[in-house]
Amino acid sequence: MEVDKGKGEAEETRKVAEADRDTVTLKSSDGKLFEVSKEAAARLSTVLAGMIAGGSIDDNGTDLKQIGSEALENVVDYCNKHANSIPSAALISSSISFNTAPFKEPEEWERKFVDRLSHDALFDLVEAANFLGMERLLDVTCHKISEMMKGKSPDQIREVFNIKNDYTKEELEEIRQELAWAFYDD
Amino acid sequence: MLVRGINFYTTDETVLTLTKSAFTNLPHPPAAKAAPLSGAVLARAPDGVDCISRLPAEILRNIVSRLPVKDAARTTVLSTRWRRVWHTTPLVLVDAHLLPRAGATATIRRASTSSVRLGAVPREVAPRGLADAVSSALAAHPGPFRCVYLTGTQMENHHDKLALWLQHLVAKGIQELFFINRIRTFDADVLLPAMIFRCTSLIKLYIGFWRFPETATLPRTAGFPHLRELGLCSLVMKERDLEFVLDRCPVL
Repeated sequence: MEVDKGKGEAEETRKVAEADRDTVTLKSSDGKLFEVSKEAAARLSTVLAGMIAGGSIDDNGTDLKQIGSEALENVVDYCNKHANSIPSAALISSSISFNTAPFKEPEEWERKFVDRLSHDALFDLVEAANFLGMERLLDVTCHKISEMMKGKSPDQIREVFNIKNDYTKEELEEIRQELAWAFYDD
Repeated sequence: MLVRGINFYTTDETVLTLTKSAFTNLPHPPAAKAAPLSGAVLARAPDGVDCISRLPAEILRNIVSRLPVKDAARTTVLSTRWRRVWHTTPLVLVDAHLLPRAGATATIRRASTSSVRLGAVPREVAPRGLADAVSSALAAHPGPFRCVYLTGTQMENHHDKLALWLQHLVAKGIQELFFINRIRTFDADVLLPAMIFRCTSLIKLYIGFWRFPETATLPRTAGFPHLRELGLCSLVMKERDLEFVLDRCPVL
């Protein structure tokens, strides 16, 4: 009983120390460590917020086995930039408006943030944002990808994203007939 | 925002002013057309790997929901992975996005030469006008309808479409509806069918340039239980009908 109590106290102390820190350490799939503001991580990621609240954050680096170091670096970079940026009136109002939809225009700095990414980095970041439950970052990255598709023909989109057309000629014709209104000025 | 397609030179001056003011006050649609520059550069993935198709369907839907409706529907032909993505993404439809692209005549000519190769849609299948394109799009999508913007049609010439569109909107759970009737003169007097009251899933409703339906004969249960935003613009409407509406929106 004594031992158990002591262990409990140590656990308690460790948790208090953890709670006092204002950053958390995250570990990528390839073992690299990143520090991120605890407040920003909890605000921007539902998954990290849950881990922080549940005390499952590891001082020596919380394992995020699904996320590579490049994507995690971008996630952390985004969180830190977000923590430092003053949210615009538009962003504040969008969070309290009746708008049920996930359509929030990216801020100028968020546009720049995703514009500098390579194809690979962008897609890894979308997946990381999805995995970590980062709604805002998911909005920004999906918005960027949609911008890359807008106004382009299916052929152009296939070329940009290396999508292999695995339809038969007949299948393709069938869809184009079915959705003729979407193809008439192609 | 103003939808092309009506010849403004023949439109009554006051009507034009009112129409413009109505459009200025409408909230902006969620999906926007491409900025002129964004289509200019075709940066492509360097390594030949298809990164986008491996994304979870939920993310593909998130991306597609941000595209103008024609672009969104056309993703169905990219590959079999994309076949059902648009159909399973709640519909966002802005009728202005259904208009032919500027310079479409040239594009159509090009398309006809490539039609042999790609099996493009023959011209006679193409919708005759905006109202037909709206009908086709509303019919093609199984729902739910998240947001529909209908602001470009003179409904006095399309009474048959009105009932059809409302049927789709009711059946497919429309959440946000912006329905502006386009008029040329104040003589135009088109009745908004009382069927609008069956769109019980509505959260936002903006209507303009209609004669509002009589509410006296409606069942006491008629109303918009989820409506939180209501915009009324240039309506012919009786005071008791307005009272009825306000009384029938418990969360407004």
